Amino acid sequence: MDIRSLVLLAGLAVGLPSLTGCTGPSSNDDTLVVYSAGPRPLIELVVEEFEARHDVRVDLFAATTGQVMAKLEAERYRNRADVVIFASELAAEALKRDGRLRPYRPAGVEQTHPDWHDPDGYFHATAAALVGVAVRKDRPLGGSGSLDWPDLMRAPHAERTVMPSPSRSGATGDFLVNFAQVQGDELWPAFIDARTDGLDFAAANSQAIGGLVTGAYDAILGVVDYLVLRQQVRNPEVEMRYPTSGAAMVRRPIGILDEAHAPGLAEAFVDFYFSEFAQEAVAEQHLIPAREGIANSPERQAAYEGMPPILALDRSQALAAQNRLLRQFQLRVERAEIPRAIRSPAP
Amino acid sequence: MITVASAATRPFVLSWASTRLPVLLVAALLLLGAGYPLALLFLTSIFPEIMGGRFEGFLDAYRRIGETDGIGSMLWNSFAWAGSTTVVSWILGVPCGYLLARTNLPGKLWARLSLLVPIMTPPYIAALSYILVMQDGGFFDQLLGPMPEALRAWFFSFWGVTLVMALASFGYVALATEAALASIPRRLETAAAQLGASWGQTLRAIIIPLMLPALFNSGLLVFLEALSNFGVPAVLGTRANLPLLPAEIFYLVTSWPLDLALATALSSLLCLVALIALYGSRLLASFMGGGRYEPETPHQFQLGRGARIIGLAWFAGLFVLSTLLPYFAMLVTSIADQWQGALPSLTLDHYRAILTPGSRGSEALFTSLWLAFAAATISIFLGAWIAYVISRTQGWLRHALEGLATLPRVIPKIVLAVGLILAWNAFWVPVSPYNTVWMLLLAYVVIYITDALNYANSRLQSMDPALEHAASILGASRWRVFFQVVLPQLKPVLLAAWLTTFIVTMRELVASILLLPPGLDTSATFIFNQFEQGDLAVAMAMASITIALSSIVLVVFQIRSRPRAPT
Repeated sequence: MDIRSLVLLAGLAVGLPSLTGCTGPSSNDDTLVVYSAGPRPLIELVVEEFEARHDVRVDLFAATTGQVMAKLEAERYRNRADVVIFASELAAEALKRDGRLRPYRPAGVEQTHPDWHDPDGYFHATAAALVGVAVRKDRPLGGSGSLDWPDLMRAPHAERTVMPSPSRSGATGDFLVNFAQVQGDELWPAFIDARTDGLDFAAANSQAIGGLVTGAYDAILGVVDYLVLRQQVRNPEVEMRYPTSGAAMVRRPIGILDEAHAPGLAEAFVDFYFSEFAQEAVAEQHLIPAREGIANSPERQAAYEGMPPILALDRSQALAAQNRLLRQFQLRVERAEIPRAIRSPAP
Repeated sequence: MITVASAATRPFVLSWASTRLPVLLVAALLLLGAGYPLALLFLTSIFPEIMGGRFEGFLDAYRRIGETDGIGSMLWNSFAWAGSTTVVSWILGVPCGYLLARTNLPGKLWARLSLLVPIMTPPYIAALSYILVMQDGGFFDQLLGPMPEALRAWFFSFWGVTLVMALASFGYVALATEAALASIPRRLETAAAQLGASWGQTLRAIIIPLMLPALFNSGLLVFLEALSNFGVPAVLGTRANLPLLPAEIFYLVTSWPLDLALATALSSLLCLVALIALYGSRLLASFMGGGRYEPETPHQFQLGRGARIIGLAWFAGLFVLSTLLPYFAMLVTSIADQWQGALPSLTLDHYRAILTPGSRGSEALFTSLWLAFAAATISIFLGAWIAYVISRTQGWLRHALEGLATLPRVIPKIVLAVGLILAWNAFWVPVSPYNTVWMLLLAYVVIYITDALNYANSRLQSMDPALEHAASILGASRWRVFFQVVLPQLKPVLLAAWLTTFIVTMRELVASILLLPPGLDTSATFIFNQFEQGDLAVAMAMASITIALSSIVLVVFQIRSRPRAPT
């Protein structure tokens, strides 16, 4: 290998990026930076339409709530984001307590559910989803009329049930915190028994849903419904159910960073998220739109008639309890050495 | 061009600097690339608020390590798991390397490729595919009849997770073994044979000592990869009750309220383990192995019929376990339309969606391809040079620089990504690469330069510096010595390093997610996004395409570099 070919190679390696045209960031004032968790097609659609209507550029970072939080933390002392959207209001609450959000009252907020939002106005729920159980219709559990949480946490159903790990899946984590508030100290023996009877944990929602779709499991405990409703279109065997004692509601808040570079645009974007166009896009993804008068998706409409009962939640107490609770859950339930009954083979 | 004679007439400081110019340059590069973000991370672990200019909570995070439940078992598990993965990789990989370098095994090109394919799979996708095969009512049960429960229980345990990780990484060992063996000269063995040494004696006295550096270096790569791997234990580990440190650190950085200080403090524990492994393996290699020699056309044994079949069966068996099994599951899932029972009806829609020109998927693929190409190319040249300069340096500086270059590879990538953001998004950086694609390239080079360094190092240890001295006595400049004397000798190991770097960069996920500039995707982040959205089929389709593309690059590369005339 002679020097000329080396130089050529190195030149090629460095030169290629300029060809792709993805060069530096634009730090213009007419650029809005949005960090968003949640369904990617949704945020992309909203951003695209916003760009067209306001003739601005939006830089979008789409990831999970955890990744958005990690990025915000790393950028703490030189903020880059203007608007954040989370899949968990506990995350937004944590950010608010750090003093990193600014209050704002979006236009059109009067047409939304007032009790979904932060009472101090630092963040507002753009959408919601319910955490319940998913079942297969062709398995014993799928046939039973009404279901409640304990049905899945005991023999014989527990051994064919999977739960997304609460410390990896944000929605399941929020559900567990909520469920712990309702259950109190009974939570621990209930889950330890469930584990003994064979409850499995999956690393992510998609892994649990994949297990259900392929028939490795009969049911998922604590899964967020919009992902299951989407699967139903392709896999009619799968069905979303809402426990009789109440499902958990997880809301997807939007907020403006205190150190936003383009606060005016940020406010316009938040307003736009509550517009009819954006809220219809929300419904399209099988989420519950915040704005009243927007129809649910047909799949959601078919899943329940009236809104199912919702577990009560004390948000600030939940935030205080969350970290310790999830850790305790890892140690006492998920990772604990619990002898398990031998699993019976798939039907 | 600076010669020793002209340097002596200059002022002292200048002459001191000019004789040490390469070391100083290497030190500066490493300090800027790795040292600077690592230092910020370390400071954050000591003073949690330091980036905000406050010095509260001194050492608070380290105190809290002690209060973390189960920290001892987590540390032990991580260590034991990485260690067992390394040993299993050696057991699987060394025979492969030996067969490739020293025998006339037929179909070597394909055998070599079969080693690289498992490295290309994103670890969590591989783990997920194994689950699809092994789970209750999975592909195994459906196609081969019910699996014995004992086998299933074994798979979802410590050793199953270890095997999956080893199957994903034994290729490193095999390639390094091959490269080392291929350059051990025949005359030593011939001499030994003439002196009446038995095969075992030759092995003990010549082959193993000369191979040890490569063995330890590749083992170190596997060890570090396992130590910081998050994907495999994250997907399989929950069922195997295997709490590991990287998973804990990942949890601390991505669940609110975030605890960056504790995460960095725990990362420094991982660094400690890694440094012990690094210096330990270097010490062992120089203590037990060593010897310098000139490479030569290797000696190859003629395999008998039986031995040939056994050799091929070894490769085939590993190929089935490490590649066919997970890829079958991946392919079936990627073309799955509707699942009726355990086997689906099929469609190619997922592929069509990705491959449409201008679609997000095809753009992500293109980005990944050139990023991997650039990162691999830069890494091997820079890595070879750094390894060369370091290996010709003596004393503590050498160890310090080596450690510095290795650390980015072991810190969980999510923490390193945070460190890189802290470093390059700080207010004192005037023109920041952050939020541009250059940041990603920088991160890849910083993380994966260790591979090139290790590969180059394994060869450099056995290279006699006499040739370099001769060249510089004859008036060749430093650069000329490096490019025309050192680099040609390093070529075989650097090619192997280029391939592995290319492959791992193609699949790098965690650092990419946080460092990706807005609006850009790599194939790995694309896969992960689809996976998170619950769209397993599209994720698997993209994984298959990425692997197919990497394979094409591999095949082209292998065929083109085939006539290996020793220089």
